[in-house]
Amino acid sequence: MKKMLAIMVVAVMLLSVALVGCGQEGGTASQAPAESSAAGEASQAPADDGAASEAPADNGEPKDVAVLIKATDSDFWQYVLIGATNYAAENPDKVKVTTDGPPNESDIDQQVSILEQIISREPDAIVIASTSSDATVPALEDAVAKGIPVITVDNKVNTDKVSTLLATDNLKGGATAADTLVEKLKAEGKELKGKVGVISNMAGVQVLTDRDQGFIDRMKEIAPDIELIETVYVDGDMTKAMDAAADQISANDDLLGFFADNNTVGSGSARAITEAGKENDLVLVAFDSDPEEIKGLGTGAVDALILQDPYGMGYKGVEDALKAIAGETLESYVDTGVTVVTKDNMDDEEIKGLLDPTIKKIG
Amino acid sequence: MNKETAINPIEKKKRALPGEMMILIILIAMFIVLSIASNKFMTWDNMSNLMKQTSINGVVAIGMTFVIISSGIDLSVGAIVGFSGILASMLMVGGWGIAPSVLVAVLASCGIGVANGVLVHDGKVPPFIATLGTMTIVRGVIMLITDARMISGMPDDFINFATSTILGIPALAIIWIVAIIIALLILKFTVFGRNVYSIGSNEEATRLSGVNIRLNIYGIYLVSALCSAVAGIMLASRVGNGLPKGGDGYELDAIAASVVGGASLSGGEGSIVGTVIGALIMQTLRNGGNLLGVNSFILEICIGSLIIVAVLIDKAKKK
Amino acid sequence: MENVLVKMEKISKIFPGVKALEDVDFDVRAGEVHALMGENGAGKSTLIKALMGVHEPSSGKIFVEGQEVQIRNPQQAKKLGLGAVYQDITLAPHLSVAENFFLGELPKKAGLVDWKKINSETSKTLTELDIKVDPKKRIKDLPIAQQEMVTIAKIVHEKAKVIVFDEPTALLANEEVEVLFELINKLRDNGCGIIYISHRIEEIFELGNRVTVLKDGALVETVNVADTNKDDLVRMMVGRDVGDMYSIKHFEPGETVLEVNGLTHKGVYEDISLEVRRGEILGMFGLVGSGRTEIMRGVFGADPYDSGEVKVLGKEVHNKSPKQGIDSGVALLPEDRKTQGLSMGLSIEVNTNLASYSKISKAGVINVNREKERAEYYKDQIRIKTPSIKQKVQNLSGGNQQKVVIAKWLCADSEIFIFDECTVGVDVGAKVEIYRLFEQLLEQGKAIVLISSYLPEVMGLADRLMVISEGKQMATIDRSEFMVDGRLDEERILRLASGMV
Repeated sequence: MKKMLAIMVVAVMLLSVALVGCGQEGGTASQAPAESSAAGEASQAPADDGAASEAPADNGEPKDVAVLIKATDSDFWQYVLIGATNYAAENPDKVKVTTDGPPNESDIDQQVSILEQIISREPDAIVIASTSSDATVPALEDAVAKGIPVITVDNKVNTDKVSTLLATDNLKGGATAADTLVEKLKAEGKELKGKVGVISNMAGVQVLTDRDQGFIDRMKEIAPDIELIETVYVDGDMTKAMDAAADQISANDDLLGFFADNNTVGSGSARAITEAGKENDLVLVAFDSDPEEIKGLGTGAVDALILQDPYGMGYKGVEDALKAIAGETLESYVDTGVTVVTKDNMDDEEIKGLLDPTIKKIG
Repeated sequence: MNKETAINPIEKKKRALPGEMMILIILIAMFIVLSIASNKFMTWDNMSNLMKQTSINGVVAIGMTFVIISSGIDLSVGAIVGFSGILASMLMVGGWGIAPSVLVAVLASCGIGVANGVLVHDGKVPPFIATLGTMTIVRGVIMLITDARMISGMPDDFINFATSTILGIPALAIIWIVAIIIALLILKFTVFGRNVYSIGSNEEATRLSGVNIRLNIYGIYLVSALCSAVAGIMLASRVGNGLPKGGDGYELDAIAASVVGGASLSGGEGSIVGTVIGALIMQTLRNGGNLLGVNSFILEICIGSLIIVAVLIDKAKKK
Repeated sequence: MENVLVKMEKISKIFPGVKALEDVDFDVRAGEVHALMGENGAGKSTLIKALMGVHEPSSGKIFVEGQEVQIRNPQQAKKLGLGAVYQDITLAPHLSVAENFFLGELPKKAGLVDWKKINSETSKTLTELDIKVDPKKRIKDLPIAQQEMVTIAKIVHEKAKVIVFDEPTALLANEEVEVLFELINKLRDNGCGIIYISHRIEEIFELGNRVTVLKDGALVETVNVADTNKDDLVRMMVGRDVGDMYSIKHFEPGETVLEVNGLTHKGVYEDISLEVRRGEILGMFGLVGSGRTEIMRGVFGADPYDSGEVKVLGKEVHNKSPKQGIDSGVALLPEDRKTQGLSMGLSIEVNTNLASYSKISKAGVINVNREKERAEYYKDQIRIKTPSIKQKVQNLSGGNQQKVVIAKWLCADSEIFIFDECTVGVDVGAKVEIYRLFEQLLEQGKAIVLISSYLPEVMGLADRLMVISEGKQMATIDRSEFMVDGRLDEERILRLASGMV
């Protein structure tokens, strides 16, 4: 009787999960290859405009490009997918794109097995953001050996067989953040003397370490009199970022501002600055974008955002894939660069698309 | 048998000394050292920061203390913090008023607490496993309904609550204080409070004394879920967003606060005052570390050591 | 002279602030059973722990076979040929009997565990001692008595010359005790020295050669068992004359309080009918596993039963939970107070009130003044020895713990008190006080059901005695029929309890 009750509770829980899942319909974590709607339309109505003028390679069929991202649970990778599917939507006669990815960045095994399934399907090219620099190497080399060119984005993979790498140079990005922060201080007429806090989302993540290192090295170079407070790591917890920033604000009268190396710590620092009412006194330069950061740009809590171009990675990744299929030789490494967004340029069309690539999504 | 009576009277007296004394001394010592090390520590601003920072974890830890005293454990508290925050923010963004959104989020979270109770009492699933399961399920549900995305656009009134003060005291701290007082009263003056201790000390003896174990176990996990739900609302207000990963790892902080505060994982022991001091000690260490610009990693080592030292002192005291 | 195996000279042990032992001399010879007696706190355990390397004595000398030794840890004690059987079983429950025998030193052959050797050597030792247990069985699947036998066999297997038994009969039924005694006698005949600790005086006379009495950490006397008697021993232990422990006032029984008709729980007990009246004690005797505890748990509501009728004060009740049992006026003082009777880590105050908070609370809020008053009242009334009602019950002696359990049920205003093995681990002085409490209860018109597997106790106290065997009620005997030829007719009861009519 009691057992039954317990079993029923579990059943109700599972059922509710299932219901929520249905409501989401094909939400995240779809592991089965899902053809993008753009590609679907393309196959139904090929070449409805003058697309034929540019003769497609060999048989004239659109090329099959598989895009494999690190994780479906994050905005960043969703933006990469939007770039990729947009390219396909703009060029329906040249390419159709399939997208895939494990639910989480830590699912390295799963990404490898998805990759192996893709290869057995023999697409014309693969665009991959590999979760690991090594785990995918054998599969990728196998693909190249079968004549499937591979375009890597975001993360370098330890093999020279791939056609190209499209990625952000985060060391450079960090340096850009330092430049931006110093310029802002100068513009406010402040002396380059005092303290700046460095808030990091997590220790031991290469991308973040590069950003912090790039920032710190550049600061020492251009503003040697500014003292950088010991980097605080917050384990991806926004409240801890708030706490750390709030504590540094109250501890240091000569605080000039903060550098935050991703959106979680950016938002947390922005909230702390808002809580302290120091929107106009402190400078905050943060990486990435999310609604809280964008709101902060408006209120002055955030002074500048350093953005990567995930959309561009996806878009250009598919474009490069077509080039590789056509036999062109590509540069082994392309820095997709960062863009500095401030209150002044945040309303530009192009920047808006960077801040939230979903608005650019076609179809 | 003989060893019980062989205990000397002096030792007995030492044991009779409130268990919270030792950690209170640790806390006071930390305050003194930090006041000397930083002239910013003992400022109203910083104290108000400290209160605000401790309050969310502090509320979770209160609920956890009930569970630990009853010799259970609730690993789902962090997930419930996230769940209640997300649900409340989604409802608000979806156009519901603040009060109904909060109410629904808290009630739904309480449902999770009761489910924990049913699994533990009726299903006879060990609490560690039962709540590990619900934790994982709830985290999964959060990810599913949010697509792992932050929920933004809550009403300003709600967001501003976290920054508001009443008589100069941060509103978040007031919620914490109210929770402390209610919990103290419950444990000290109600039958439920006595039952929590007694179940933790000896469930079978308590059952044979005519106590309805089922209702009490449900109640215990309900209290824990309720505290976590309130903390989730506090968190959503403080960060101004619904965070899918909100409350991640809070279960461990809450357990640590209870244990540092003298609660025993084998049940029957623990106090709200101890837990409050435990939570304050841990947050003061973080706060002090930030003020003095101490290396983050060294700070973690300090916190870990503190947890172990506090428990060692407790054990030594009981020998 | 006789061969002295262990000699302890002027042993003192000082714990911070208290002298647990002071200048105690003790020795054990080969081929004798030397009983060690004393009230709780007299220092018996401390003396044994000093010998077994658990506590190092503060001063004094220990000789093993004439050689002075310092025993710093239990491993060393084991090497010197000293072994102990404690009340709590100290075997690894999930391992087999044989594995326990060789724990920590499993013999190997070619790098692999030599199971053949382990099992054969274990069964050899078991056969020698006439213990019928399969060496491959896991400890937790064995009944307590067999676990104890296995513990003893293990110590024998480890070539112990001196074996300490610390209250070995506390958890055993009568016929198991007989088996144990045979085993101890066998060990004695083999030249082992036995140190035997027990609260049951009768056992000393059955088994012991010499007896040493300790009181308050000091030696009272060591005498030959043949030269002493029960009363002398009790006087030595308690320090005063207690007379016949079991002589309590018996009252004219009043109205029937509890009536049970045809109570049945299939496979556990069948067709049990009984009646208890105000002012009387109904004894219930049966071997361990006979179902006597289960019957009363059924009446109380701790366990369900299939059919039958229970009437309290003439009103039919069917208790489905302890709560209903309490409300109907029944109190169950369970067999094992540590696991069932008390919340050991909590105060006397909470434990006293635990079964009756509903009487002193309103809407779940406790009247803490009443809570305190009641605890203080019963502390004084039944003389619980404690500095304060805030004391945790785990710091009390066994007898005082049992009094707290009684206080709990007095608080609950119960009419029928079911005492299940209530004097296990309780020393003589406290036993007598508990029996006086029985008297008080009876005087107030309460009824008592006394479950015990210790015949002298149950026959000494009960007005009527019901004997249970394998779930069946064998007979209910009136007090007037207990005595045959001027002595208790234990044989008849034991025959009934073993199912012989």
